[in-house]
Amino acid sequence: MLPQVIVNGLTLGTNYVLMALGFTMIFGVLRIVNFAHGEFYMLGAFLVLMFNTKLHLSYFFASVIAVVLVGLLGIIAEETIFRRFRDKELEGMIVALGLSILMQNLALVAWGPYDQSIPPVFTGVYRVGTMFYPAERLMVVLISACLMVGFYLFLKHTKLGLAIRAIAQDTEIAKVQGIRIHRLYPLAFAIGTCLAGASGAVIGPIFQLNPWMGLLPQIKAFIVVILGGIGSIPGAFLGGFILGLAESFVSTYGSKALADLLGFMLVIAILLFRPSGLLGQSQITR
Amino acid sequence: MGELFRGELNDGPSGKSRRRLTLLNRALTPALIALLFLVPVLWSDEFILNLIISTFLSIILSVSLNLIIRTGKLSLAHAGFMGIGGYTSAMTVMRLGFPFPLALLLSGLVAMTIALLVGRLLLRLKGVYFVLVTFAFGEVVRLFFVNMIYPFGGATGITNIPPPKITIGPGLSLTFLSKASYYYLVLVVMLMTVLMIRRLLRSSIGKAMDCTEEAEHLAECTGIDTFQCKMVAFGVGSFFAGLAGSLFTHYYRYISPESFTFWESVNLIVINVVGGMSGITGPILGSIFLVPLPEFLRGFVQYQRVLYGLILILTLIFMPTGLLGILRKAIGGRLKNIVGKKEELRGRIA
Repeated sequence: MLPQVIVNGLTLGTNYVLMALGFTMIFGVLRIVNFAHGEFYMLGAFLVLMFNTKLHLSYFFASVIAVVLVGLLGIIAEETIFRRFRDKELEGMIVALGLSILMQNLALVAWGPYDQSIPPVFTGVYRVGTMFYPAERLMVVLISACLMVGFYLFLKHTKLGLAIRAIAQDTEIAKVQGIRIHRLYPLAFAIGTCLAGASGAVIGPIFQLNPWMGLLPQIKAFIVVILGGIGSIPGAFLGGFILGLAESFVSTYGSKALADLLGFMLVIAILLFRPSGLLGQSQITR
Repeated sequence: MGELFRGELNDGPSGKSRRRLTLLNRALTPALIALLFLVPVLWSDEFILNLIISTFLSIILSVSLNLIIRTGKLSLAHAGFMGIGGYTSAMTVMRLGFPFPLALLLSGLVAMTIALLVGRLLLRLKGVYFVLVTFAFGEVVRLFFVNMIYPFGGATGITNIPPPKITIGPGLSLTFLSKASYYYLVLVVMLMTVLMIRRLLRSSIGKAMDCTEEAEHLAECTGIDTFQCKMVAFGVGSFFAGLAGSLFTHYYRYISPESFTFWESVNLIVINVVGGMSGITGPILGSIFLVPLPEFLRGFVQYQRVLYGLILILTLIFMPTGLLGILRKAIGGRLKNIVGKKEELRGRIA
């Protein structure tokens, strides 16, 4: 039983981390709480569905195009909307809510309210001892892990990644160092939305698609980010796996209802004992 | 914190324009209130009454949210507190047989108590953090009611909630079953809410709240307990959200966790933004504009919410002071008051 619980927890964790990474990076660099993050995730999944079923592209090809498109949309959103809300965190957040409403309902107009699903890509179940693991879930975890590692290497070992980290650390100093932040903002936003779109594309085949599918992953991303510390990338990894494992344990040994409430209880506990999040900077008064 | 939250009321119009505004206010407000009491006599149309009742409920909710926003705290849990009020009222009336007025009061008090309990923790959080955590809290409230099948009916909620009944004396009672009678009930509560919150904002506590929002550290240096200010605003705001929840529940005679999702809280914020946040007139204007709006777009049901999102984005970009800002400009602009000049200056800087 225990290994199964751990594996389930890690699977959940990878989903959460992938959503939280883009969200936390967008906050770290642009100081925007992207309330539309779940909608970029939803868009990623729907675009894969469109390319896969309407244009009969292979799942992987469809995913790549979908992620690129979501990224381009991210650039457009940043250039037209979010750039007007630099240094205005609360207004930026409200405008993101507006974008979220807009995208969700455009999706409703375009794709209707009913659940749809992407044709399964992998079938079969792996069995190790008493542990069961469906092949499609394994693929989700593997692809997610590749994306995470890729993202991490990008941040650590490329010039662009270095620039992004510099802005997140201190915008003024980054400017002084000659980093053209106005050029990097749309790019950073696009990378964030790409990650959301990619997690939608990856998780799409194992979930039902509807215009509201982004809300739950978004809530989880918020919780993860608060746990790990908002704006902190290692924090997003840590928070994601903690939440995934904790939920897996509680829903197995406790109840599903308790698992739903768990995230908030963790948030409360973190706020009581370490308000800045596990790996974050202080965000609290007194 | 930004233009949205800056209260221009503080440095209102001066001299002649102020006198003219006061006169306008003093004469117009009672006239408007009198007119509101006559509405069901003039139009007995159920459809219109229903629309006005919804608008009134929205005014109670958005004005009470405005009180919380005035301390610089954007709460996404407001619909959650409304739900708490709604369930409290339904449970106390149906299971415990409490009279409606008591249930109404209790729904406000329970919402307030919970707000004060979680507020001790949540209100210590800064801007964005606070919003995220209230968002999570609102969802937890919803999930709590979804998961508690006994006694709250789970996802299907509670049906057949009786209409409010106020017993005045033996054999004499009022039942608010018709639309017109409910109109008066909601009207009275709405007016009480608006007047009480207005009174609160104009009191020394209200001034302290504005200081808290404007310059927290400075306020603390002058001896204002800013945390206490936030607690008062959060508690009182949630109290009225609870009342609205009770009225909502007994009006539709049905409550389920779907009645107060995160999107309801977002709607209230949209109403505040579009109306303007710097005074309680803002959310009132916002409610009057946005609540009936879908009715005029009946033919384009699908696009209603799209338009809603678009209005929110465009308002934030092109008129960050909302309808209230436009109204103030229209009244004050011609009279060349300080506000107008300041806004002009602000515009030039931006």
